[in-house]
Amino acid sequence: MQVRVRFYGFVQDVAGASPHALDVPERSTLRNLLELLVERVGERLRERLFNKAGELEANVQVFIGDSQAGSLEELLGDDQRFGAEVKVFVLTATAGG
Amino acid sequence: MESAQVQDDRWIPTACGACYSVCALLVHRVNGTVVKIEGNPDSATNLGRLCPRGVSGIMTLYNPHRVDVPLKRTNPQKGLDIDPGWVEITWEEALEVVAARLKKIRQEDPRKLLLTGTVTTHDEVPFAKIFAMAFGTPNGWNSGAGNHCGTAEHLFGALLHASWSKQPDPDHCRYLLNFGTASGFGSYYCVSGMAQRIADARLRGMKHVAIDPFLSPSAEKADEWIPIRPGTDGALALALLYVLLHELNICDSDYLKHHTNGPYLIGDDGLYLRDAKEQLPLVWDPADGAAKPFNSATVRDFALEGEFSLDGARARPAFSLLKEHLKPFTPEWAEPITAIPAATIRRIAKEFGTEARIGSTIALDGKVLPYRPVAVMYFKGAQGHKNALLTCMALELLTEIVGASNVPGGLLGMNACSLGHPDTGGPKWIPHSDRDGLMVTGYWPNIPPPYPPKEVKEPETIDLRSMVPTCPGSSGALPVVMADPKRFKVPYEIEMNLHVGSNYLMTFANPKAVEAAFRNVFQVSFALFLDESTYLSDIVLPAASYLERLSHTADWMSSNSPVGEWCYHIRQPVVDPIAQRRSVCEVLLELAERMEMREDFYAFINLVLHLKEPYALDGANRYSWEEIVDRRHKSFFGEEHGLEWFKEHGLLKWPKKVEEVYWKPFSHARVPIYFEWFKPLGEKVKGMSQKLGIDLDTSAFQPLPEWRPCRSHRENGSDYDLYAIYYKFPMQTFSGTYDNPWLDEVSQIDRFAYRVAIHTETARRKGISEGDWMEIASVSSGNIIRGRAALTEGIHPEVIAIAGCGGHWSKFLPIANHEEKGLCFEWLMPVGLDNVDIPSLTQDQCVKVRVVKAKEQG
Repeated sequence: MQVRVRFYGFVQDVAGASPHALDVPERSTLRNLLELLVERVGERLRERLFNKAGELEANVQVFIGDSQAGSLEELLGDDQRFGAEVKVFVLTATAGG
Repeated sequence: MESAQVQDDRWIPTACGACYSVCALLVHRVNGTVVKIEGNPDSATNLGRLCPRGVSGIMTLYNPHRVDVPLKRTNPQKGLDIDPGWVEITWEEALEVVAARLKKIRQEDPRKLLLTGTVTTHDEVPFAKIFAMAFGTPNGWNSGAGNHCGTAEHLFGALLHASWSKQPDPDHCRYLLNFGTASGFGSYYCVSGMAQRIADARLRGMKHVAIDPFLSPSAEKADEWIPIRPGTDGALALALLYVLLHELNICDSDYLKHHTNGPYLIGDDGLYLRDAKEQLPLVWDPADGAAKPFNSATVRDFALEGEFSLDGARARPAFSLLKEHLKPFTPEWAEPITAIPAATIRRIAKEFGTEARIGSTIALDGKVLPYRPVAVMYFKGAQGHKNALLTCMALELLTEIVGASNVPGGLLGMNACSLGHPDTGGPKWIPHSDRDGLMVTGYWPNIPPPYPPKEVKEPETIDLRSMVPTCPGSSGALPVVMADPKRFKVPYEIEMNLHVGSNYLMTFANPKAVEAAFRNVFQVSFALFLDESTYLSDIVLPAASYLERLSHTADWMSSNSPVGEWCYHIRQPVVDPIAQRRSVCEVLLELAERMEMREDFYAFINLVLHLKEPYALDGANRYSWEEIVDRRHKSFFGEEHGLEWFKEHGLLKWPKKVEEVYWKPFSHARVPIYFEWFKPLGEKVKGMSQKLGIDLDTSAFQPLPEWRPCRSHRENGSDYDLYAIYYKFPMQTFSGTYDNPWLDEVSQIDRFAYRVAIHTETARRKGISEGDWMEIASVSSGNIIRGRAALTEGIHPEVIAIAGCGGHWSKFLPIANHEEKGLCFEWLMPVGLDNVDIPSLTQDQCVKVRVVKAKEQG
């Protein structure tokens, strides 16, 4: 199945501003999808998205359609949401105080 | 005025913007002209009260020295006092230049854009941060890193109080131990409302003990003033902890067992001992004589003291380690450091510990809660030193060991828990716990919050925050790194500074050194005035002031009152923008259009401002600023509470629930009294710094507090015998209000506002009399400043104190730029990492100086 992924914020310099279209196997998880993108884009994308334990960095938020993904193990296509664009936001703490 | 001539006579509700307290206003407009500003009595934030700055806003609105048109510099030379050679340009030309440059940088490397601002621009800077996020830069800096931000204090706000800042419970506190803050006395958050609430608290008998080198505007209203040597607050806190735990045996065991990591077992490596199966921190259950995961349902009791053996390894509860650690820190140890007699330290500890009333309860709204009516307050004064992290830790532990954290009478995180409006449930944030059982904030203005700890990464930001993730906000390292990014292995240089209203040249440290960091950057400033920092600008855009603009938000967690009612305000224009002034937020939206960045900007606006369907912005459509603000209000408060409703009513309020204000007894989240993760994080920072060849002192990353001397305690050059400190002055906000004629007038009436406080005896010894000119030379920066002496016995004999942030030199600020209009303290402070607390990246704000009588003319 084909998935469209778009990156926002402090990651576009690595992943680009245009959406990525990927073919992923049925019952793929969000982690599978992002790993495929790391393969395509390069390790700098991993550094922006993941910590060393392989979990999403705290400033990364992923949405499938309008719903925020709760876990990297979330299956794409659950809850009839598949088909919607996957949006990956990398937020930055432009400091306050 | 004859009534027949009056065509327009309205009182318009809006919100102040003269500081970060966001007091509610009623503005009287007659025939299109503002004639008076008063506090809005309906607001729970300021209770109708208003400070001199708020009343004087009218003089900022109509100040003839305001920037009224876009300007372009013609002089390519930049410098602190080099005239930029401003010429007027059109908005069209300005926006074309700015958009083209932004677009180019975004295409090449978005990290090369820096956003600078200040917290007083409550709506503009947060919205500009959204712009910066969409742009793709990680670089931002609020100039509060220097002389106004609490920096390390905010870190402990996140770790212990789920909040950016804290306040004493004004409804129930009976003993306020105040380490140099102006909370309730003239500045700090929620300023006017807290002034009323703390005045009421004093009337009902709350004792206020001020620990401060100077009998400041806050300390002069205390029941007792205890002068302390600057930068030694941590030593005093350690001695107080010693007396409480080792001499008086006072602590709240029940609180420590159930709401802190005090019972967590620590191994000889300083880390938690964890169970083999789930890797959860272990506690010792004395009832069963066994170690169990902290959250096991079988735990019948928690050991706080003792030594146990787990598979042959020594295990001690964190509280036990803390108590043992404190043994050297006796009052006799602290006396020569702090200059406070040991007997006074013992008396204060006893008063504090007794008034904590451990074991007592209070019933509020039918709920029985712990009653601990003592609070320890501190902010910039105690914190703004090289020893910031460990000082804050010691100060916080005073509150924690007596269980006075976020319970009635104690120290409250400001709006740490919000269950939302009764009709919509929004806005909502609730502290929760992580897998180790420790508290994670429900809301944090910078993303992400400091806990859980982030990984240490190579410097990708221009301020070392990616490498030192414990820095909670503005970094004291930015000017150092920005001046020489290659030295710090930052793979780019800042090319452009989007500068929203801060006067960073006067508020951080040595202006000459800060200027060197910014001189070669293309700077676009949104400005009210041509202040000193705009001397480095290439384009200046005339910004609308808070009385001329609409805001998407006039509130944040620390502007609301800590008790009473939730209260959300509108900020709306009371007059149309004068001349060619424009709202910063509207200009940013237009820039996004010109840069073809609308879709990204809207996506981040939806995310950060929580615009949910049906109020989310659609990137296919263009929205006006009014439409966006309308959607923001409706998304939080429902369809009936849109912009038009707020314009008419001014504010929306509802009562705070007991479980919101005093959230701790209702929460399972624990807070640390042993900061276990600091040590391994520090080792990672050290490893990274060694790898990159950067010399960083990471020794303060430790789980328990100490007191360490700052640079000012060690630098004792010949005749440099006095400490120079600055303090916040209630009549002025940072450096931004000194050209306001009314505030200038009241500042001239106050004997200390524009002069330098020096002890009478110290002055006599130096041959200095009241009103004499003094030369103040910094041992650290080498700079010399001049000011007139104000003699007083209300200051530590080793200290001189400088009010606020005067000493302007911009020729475009004709009211402020006279020698007798205060001093810019920052000339005395050096820029450099040896003046920065590395774990929090806090800039020290205390320095040794030589003071001599000077000639009348400079």
